[in-house]
Amino acid sequence: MKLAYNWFKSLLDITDSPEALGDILTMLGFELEEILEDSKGIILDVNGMANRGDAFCLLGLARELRAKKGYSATELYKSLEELYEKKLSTDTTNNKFKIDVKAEGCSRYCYRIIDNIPKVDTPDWMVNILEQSGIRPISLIVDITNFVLLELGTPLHAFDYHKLSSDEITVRYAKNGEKLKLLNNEEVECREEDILIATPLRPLALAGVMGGLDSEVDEDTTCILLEAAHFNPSEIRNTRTRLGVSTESSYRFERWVDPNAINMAVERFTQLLMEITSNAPIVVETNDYYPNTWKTRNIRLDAHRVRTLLGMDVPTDKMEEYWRALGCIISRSGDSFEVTAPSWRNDIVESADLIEDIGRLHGYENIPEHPPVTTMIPGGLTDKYQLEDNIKECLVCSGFQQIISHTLTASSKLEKESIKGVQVRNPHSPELHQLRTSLLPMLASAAMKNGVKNLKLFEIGKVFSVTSTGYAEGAQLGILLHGDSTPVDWVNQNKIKSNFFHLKGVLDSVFSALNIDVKLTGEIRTDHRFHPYQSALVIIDEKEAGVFGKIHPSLAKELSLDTDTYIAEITLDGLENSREDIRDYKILSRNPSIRRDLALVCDKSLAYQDIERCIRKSAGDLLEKVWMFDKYEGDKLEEGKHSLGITIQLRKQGSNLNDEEANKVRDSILSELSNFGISLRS
Amino acid sequence: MHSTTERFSQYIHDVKCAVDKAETTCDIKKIEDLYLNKNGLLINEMKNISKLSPEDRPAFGAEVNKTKAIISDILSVKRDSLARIELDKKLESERVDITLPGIKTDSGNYHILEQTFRQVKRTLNNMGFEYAESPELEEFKYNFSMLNYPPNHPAMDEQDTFYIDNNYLLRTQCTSIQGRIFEERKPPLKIFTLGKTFRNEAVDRTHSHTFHQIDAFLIDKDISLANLKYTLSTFVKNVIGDDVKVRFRPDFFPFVEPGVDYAISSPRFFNGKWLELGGAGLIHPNILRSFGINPDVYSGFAFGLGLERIPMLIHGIDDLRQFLENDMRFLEQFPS
Repeated sequence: MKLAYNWFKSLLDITDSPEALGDILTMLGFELEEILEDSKGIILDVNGMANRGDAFCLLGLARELRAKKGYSATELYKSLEELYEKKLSTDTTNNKFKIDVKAEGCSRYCYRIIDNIPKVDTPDWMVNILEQSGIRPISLIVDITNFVLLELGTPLHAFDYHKLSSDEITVRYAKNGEKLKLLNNEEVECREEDILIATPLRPLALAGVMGGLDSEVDEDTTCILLEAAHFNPSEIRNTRTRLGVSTESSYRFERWVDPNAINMAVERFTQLLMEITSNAPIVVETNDYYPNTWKTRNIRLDAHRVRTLLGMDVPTDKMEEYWRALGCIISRSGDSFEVTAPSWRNDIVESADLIEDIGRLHGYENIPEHPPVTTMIPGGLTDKYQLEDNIKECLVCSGFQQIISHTLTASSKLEKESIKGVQVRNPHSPELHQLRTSLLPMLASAAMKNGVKNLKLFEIGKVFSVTSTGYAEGAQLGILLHGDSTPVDWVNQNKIKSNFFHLKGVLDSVFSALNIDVKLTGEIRTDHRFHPYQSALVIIDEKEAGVFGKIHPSLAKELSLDTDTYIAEITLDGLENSREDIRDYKILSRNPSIRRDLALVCDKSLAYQDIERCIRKSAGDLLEKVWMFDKYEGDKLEEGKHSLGITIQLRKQGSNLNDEEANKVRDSILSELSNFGISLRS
Repeated sequence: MHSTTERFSQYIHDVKCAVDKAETTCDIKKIEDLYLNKNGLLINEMKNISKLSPEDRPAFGAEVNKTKAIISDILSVKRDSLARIELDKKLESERVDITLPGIKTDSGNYHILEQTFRQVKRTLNNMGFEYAESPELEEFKYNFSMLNYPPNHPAMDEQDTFYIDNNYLLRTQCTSIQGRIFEERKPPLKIFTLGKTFRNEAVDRTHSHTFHQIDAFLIDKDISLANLKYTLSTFVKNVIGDDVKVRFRPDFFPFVEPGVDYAISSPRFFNGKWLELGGAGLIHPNILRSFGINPDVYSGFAFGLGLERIPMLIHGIDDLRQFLENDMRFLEQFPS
């Protein structure tokens, strides 16, 4: 809202500079956006507060400034106070014109018919004020309505009386489909929730928003019907947003216009018109429909509570002073108050609102910093958070870069086909219509963006889906691995490309760090995203928790990714419950271990898992560890066979194991393995 | 006897001369072999002891041993100094070009926002706030109705909020956690959350439809704006820097009363200009009342802020879009 600095001086004896005035307004909650200057002077651009409908005008801000700084009031300010108190004539016995208010959304409707208006130009001082506020001067009558709107915050509308061709006005809800051509030359189609100002024959204006074209005042207008009213803010807002017509009037009606100040606006308009036209016009008649006078509540509160909640030591007398300065009516007994806010402060509905005013006037800058004295409650993090944090830590330490990407996305081939995505009803753009169902598309696009080479990426974030009962939101871990498994540099020129087993190893380390028992050996086969023979399920507590493996080559091609890209998608929900919290300590053995290396020749079709299981079973209690150290394929072996190098580590608790015992274990393992056609490599 | 002593003195003299000429530990070893080791001159002298009369033998033996000890000392001193020189030479031959690049370990990295999350979590945890989480795909009531938004509030517009259907939306603020906590628990409460929030906005350098927020609240008896100011001030000092000051100014949000807009300033940023950081205030009595918390007994503060503001200020990042673009050239600028 732009208001000329000098205009403030018409209401208050201001001595402060524009900058100082801006600071005061800012600290009152009406933030100074900027100070502008044009040929006519300095302008303050001030942001209003959404709940302070009373302060979207000069008078509203002047009241605040006066309460805060105690500036003395000018004659004009005092005369406005008088106009506020002055009742419009309600003796309507001789009125020729009738009003009929049928719409509940209109709680007050005034009109005044003024005739004999001469053709006079708007005086320069008024033109300047309007222009400085960014309002284009049009004609004397329109300009005065706009001036009053800026000065007092009350929207006024002037109809050309003779164009009404009626002696009755109805304030009613529109009929569905009823059409009206507005002042901006656009025709709107109304619905039955829109309030219309109408004659019995036709609609005249869209209430609170804009007048109609056919009753517009023009250069030949000599007689007007001036309208001032109060409309329900949310009804005006509905109409305005649906029809997309926003005006200075609708802006203020939406934010609430003081119904008790409507008479003031009508009188102020009349006063200005008379002054400018040397008292030529004649007030024909006035009417004021106002069945239920708006009243603010009486609020009881205690000075002690005010001090407690602000944390600021404001003396009780000061409080009374502040509230009175804002126009409140006070009844006080010691520290107890009963406060009635002025009619323009509809935002004051309970003690918290009055406390805020004390804070504002005493100054938010004077609020001290006090540590809260509270009940001791433990802070802390959730198990779920700890789980995710541990995974992140583990992956970062394993050389992975964390990414964080958008939730809103388009559908992708990297999503699981069986999952239905949640759609946004009003997407910002067509390609952001869905909530992600998987993190894999995000990782793939990050890989693309960074040139698809030597990447180790992961993301942990929310994914969404439609379920039979509604929507599901869950945490997921996504990993993408591609390229060199260890950094290649001027010392190590030995490039080893990451493969399925690197990814499997990463997952193994992650779950081992989490102390979660995981199986990474289930076959998938049916997930279109994965290479059918280089992919596996992640099984935790006998439930499927995810999938990992090589990307399907067809999909890689389609997405312009390298075929040697490895991806994992793991659901994290509930995994915190699968963690073994405590690892049991095992006593360190004093007895040395013995190892035996076995070079086993076996069918390639035989799963390593089965061989290891067989070794474990036949080795007995002495077996401490089994691991594979080599895999060989080549001409020296029979076709269809390969050789696996496996180490067994044996240890006896309490006494030393001798070679003979170790060999016995080895032999019984070999004898068991021979049942699978496995033999020692010669 | 006389000739024996002279002979031994001559040995010592000879050794000294030889040692003076020695250039390597090998040379020392040769001298040692000549005098002290097997078949060395002094060992051979000892063999002659049997030729002496028994009464002369002890003195002769003592003389041999004394000479051996002297020679051994002379050799040892020289050997040590030559060994030092030789080691120095050897080490010099092992010189590397220390300016060649180091071999990096395969180190990963936290996303810059994650680094901020962690710092914020650590700070608020240390201040006794408990971390909690609430959905991004949120119910209308938690995002708006329960937070004292009047019906038809502008923020509810489709132009401002992403809707899934009439009851579900993408949360526009992390404050949506309040209702979820109040339904389950009673004060005292000291909770914070952080996560993604969404607004139906076009993306440019300073706007995005997706960004992150921190939201925290504390409810107990007699909680004040002064407590809020202390808490915020401590928070920003920990997260942004000790030189940061906090300013309050009145503002309006439906879920607080009195409402506060808080700004920070530090000589490090924009010449100490006040920079708005977020909204805060005392939790609106309507909200407390609606969950059966008596506002005459309990009060509470809440504050929220955009998480991206923190790294933007600290690192001078001027483009909000970078945070979710995952460009390695950006992410690698902030190693963790």
